[in-house]
Amino acid sequence: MKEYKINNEQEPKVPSSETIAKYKNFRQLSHEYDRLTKKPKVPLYRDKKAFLVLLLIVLMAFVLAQIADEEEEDRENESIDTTITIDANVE
Amino acid sequence: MGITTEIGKEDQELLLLVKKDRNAFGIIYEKYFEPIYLFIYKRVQDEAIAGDICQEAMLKAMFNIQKYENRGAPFSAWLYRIASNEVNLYFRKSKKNITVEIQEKDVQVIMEEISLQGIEDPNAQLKLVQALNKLTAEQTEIIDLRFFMGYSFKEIAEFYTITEANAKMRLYRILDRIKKGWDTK
Repeated sequence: MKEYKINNEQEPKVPSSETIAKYKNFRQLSHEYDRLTKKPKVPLYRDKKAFLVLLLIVLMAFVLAQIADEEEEDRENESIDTTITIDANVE
Repeated sequence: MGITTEIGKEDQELLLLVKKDRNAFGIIYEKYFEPIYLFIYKRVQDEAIAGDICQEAMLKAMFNIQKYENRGAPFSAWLYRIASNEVNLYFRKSKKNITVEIQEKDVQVIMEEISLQGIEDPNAQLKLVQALNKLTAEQTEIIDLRFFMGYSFKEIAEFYTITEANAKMRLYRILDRIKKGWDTK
């Protein structure tokens, strides 16, 4: 609330240009403007598109790893079979 | 004194520039910070608070500059309105009473304007101050402009983007209310 009061004693003071310059700061204003206008960065897991892409990459990596594993297993089995056949022939 | 009375061509060019590149607002800031600060200071009479309000007003202007339309009044009037709204908001929000000092001669001018008795009488002056204290921040705004900041009716009209006749009507309606309250007491 504002309240008027009569002052008979002194003339009203007027701040000097130097005093006013202390409060002048365009850089701060510009920074404040940027802070208020720039969208906050959405974390990757909250961004639907990014999340789906990420999920797809993980799935593809998983499938590729599975295929690689299976191929390796097959190769191992094949080499065991060959060893057994060779051994049988030797006996 | 207050707002410039001509539509600055320079300001219009500057506005076009700011609408394209917001960093150009810095030129407006440099040009108007001091006069806007002084305008706010006269109303709040506190250097630091005037500084804060001035920054806030400039920020609001920066936000809304895209919406600014030239309606014939000087661009500075638009800035002063934003600043004044911020001052009113400060007065409304403040929980403690903020004392604003006024000169005896200014009080006498108001008393003379509404033909009140006892211009020299300190009790009558005090009574008028008490009546002014009952007004809202928006009502005292025009009183401040006219009697304590020395605005002409033309400048007040530009400030509110209204006609001079309307500015007079707005002021005298408030003064009439004070006079009626004075007579009934």
